[in-house]
Amino acid sequence: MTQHTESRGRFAALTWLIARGVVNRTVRRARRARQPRYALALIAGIAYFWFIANPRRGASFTVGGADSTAYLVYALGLAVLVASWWLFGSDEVALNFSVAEVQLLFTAPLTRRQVVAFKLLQAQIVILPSVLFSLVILGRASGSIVERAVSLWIIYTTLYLHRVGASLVRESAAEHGASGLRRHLGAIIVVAAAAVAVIWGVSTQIPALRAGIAAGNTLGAAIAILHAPVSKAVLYPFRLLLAPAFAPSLGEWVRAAWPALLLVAAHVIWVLRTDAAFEEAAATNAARRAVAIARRAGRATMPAARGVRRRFRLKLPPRATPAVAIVWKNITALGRTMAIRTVIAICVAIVIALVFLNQVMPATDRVSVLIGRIALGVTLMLVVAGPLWVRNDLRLDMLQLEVLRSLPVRGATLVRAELAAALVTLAAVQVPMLLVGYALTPPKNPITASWSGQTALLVTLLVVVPVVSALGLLVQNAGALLFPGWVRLGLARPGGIEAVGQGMLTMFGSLVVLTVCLAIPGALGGALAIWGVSHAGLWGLVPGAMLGAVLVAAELWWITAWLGRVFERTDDIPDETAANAA
Amino acid sequence: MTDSLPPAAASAGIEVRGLTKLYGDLTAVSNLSFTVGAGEVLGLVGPNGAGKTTTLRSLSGIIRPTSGTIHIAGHDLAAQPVPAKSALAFIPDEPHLFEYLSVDEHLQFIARLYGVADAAQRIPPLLAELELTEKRDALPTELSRGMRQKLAIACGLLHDPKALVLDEPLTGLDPGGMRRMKATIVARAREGAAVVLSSHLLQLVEELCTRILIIYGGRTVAIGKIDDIIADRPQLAGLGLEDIFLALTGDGARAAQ
Repeated sequence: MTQHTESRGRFAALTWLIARGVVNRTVRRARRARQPRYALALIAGIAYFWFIANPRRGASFTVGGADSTAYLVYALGLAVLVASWWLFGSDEVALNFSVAEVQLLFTAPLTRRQVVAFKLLQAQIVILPSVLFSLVILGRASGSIVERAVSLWIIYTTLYLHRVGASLVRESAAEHGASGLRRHLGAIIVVAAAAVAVIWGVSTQIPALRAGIAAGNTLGAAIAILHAPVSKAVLYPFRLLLAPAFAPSLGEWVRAAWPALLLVAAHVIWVLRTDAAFEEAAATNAARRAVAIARRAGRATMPAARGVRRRFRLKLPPRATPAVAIVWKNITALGRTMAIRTVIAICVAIVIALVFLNQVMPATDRVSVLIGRIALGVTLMLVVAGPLWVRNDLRLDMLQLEVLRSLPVRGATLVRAELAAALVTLAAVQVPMLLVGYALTPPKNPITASWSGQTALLVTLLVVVPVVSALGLLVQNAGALLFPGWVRLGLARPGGIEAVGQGMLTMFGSLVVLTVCLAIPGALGGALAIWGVSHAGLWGLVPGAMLGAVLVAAELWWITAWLGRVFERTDDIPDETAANAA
Repeated sequence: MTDSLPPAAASAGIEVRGLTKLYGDLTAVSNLSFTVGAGEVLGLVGPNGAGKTTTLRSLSGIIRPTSGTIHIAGHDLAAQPVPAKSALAFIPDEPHLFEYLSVDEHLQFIARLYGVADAAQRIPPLLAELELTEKRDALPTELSRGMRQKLAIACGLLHDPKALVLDEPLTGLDPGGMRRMKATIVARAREGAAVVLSSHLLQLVEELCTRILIIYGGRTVAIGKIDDIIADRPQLAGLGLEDIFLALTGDGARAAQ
């Protein structure tokens, strides 16, 4: 057998691995759907997608022409996305190998290029369903379904390849320093040139934008800038990528498709020819992920975090009660598992946005007002979404049920401590946000006319926001304890239509329970607040808020006592729940 | 410290020269050199953090050494990875398998990857030997820890490797499985494979290995047959492997470091 034939045979084995995996996974999911819980979740998931994609609702994707504002806005969005990968991108994208792949493929007689090609091919398992899903979501649009599918495939594949390429360059630079950067000089020059073009392009447009804002036509000025030749030039590669999706006719689609396909081919060549030694970081990353998976399934206790996260330290008082120790443990867990890069990226993006706004706004005090309003908006959003996002409570710990059960703590105390950890985390964001909103929002607004009224509103919110958040967290934790199969436990994010359906059903159930729990405190507190406002202005809100808070606190106390007894009777969580979490 | 074998023997097995691996400022392995000839079983021992895992990962091609060379069956692992890895099998202590491939499919996949032409004939007896025949259609999640280990062993042995790298090979096996595994290692060595075996079970190392490499702090502390190691260090006379290991890697060695 020639070397070439052997090599082809090995790559055929890799393609077989992908195909076999897809078939086996599909069969397993189909078997699972025989269980009522998954069947119900699957129905809910399908119903959800049917609802958002129902043609009778008139959902359609109007693409506009190649010169349309929408086209340029999408191109701008892609540019921002790609820039974020280069600036803040995670190295985990390119190195997303499983431990099985590291152990069985890295040691196998495969070239590095074959391994990279395998990963690129494997990515199609995600990309192709994404194309299908997008076709359903976007609904009717111009062009045949094949044209639209190919256009979307070009976009998704190019973006995936670019992300892989960018992270390989970053990885090479991290491992080899200057020599690593030299190896990717071509890619770096292209990216640097693009960055310079963007900065120069933006700087040339600032006077026009400032003039537009001064004339009270901010949106018009922004659109005009987007259509300016310099913006179009900067966005050219992204317009090229999007062009097939925006082509109004078959002829134009064909003309737009081939340059876009060339872009895909160029990316394939770039990534395959990138001789970055990704194996080591991949092996480390895979091992970390394996530990994380084992931890989610309660099979390991060592932290899965990177070194930077391990640096998170919180002092535990030496004479802390067991409840305080549990709160400490859960806050520490959050500090070591949250995506630090994401937080940094968001902060940097906010700073850049504020600097830009400061440049273009004639009166700088408007920026502070904007910050104040954003802070208030985020606080209120977190009342609803916070209990779903902040999960360092029983939802994180239920997979370690055996450990929890062995702790010398009463069930009610444990449930309250678990709840307190998440509440402290949430409040640590909400309260400063409220104070920022209070300080930066001028008192002359539709609700308050003075600092006194504004302070009354602040006090009311400082009372109401934490207790409503606590109730939201309680509902989520009760779900984890009473219906562990229905609530996402651990850090895993299960995929698939049935997972979406299960999430929808759980969210609907949680909202119903939350509404019921808030009904009496809300009615009594609200009535007192209305009476108070009519007699004492905005300060009259405070007694109503206090009454509502006391009633919710009583509910919390009673329900956590009951949940504590449930916890003490809970011997195990279903095996399948743990397996799904893994 | 280095050792060497005649060129013919070295080309048939594993040859490591000046292996060094740095992780940033940390030196995991420093200038490690050894050879394992055909039919030899080299026991790699050292305390936790000594550099054993890094050495095994370098030998198996998972990570690249910072400097130094590794030859597997005469092929440079860095320059000719495909022929080198064709001759190699790595059996890790914690086997991870493809979640959605059955036992039988794993073996089929490995057979295609390594170009095992007579896989159809080889797989059934291998499954029978490792008591996996009944589980041939099971997915890894449906297997016990020991059975997963057996499957990893089967994957490693299917292509008759000339070089075998084993990390704690008895982990998870029942007493019967341990006995069979030991017999398999000995049999493979007799058939001409060069074996590197890393384990904290010093009795196992003493029982199976023809030579021992003790590393500490990423460096070679001793290499050779136990008798030779003792002969070079008269103060170790009369000690068993456990005492020799502790003498060379214990407090005295730490002080020397």
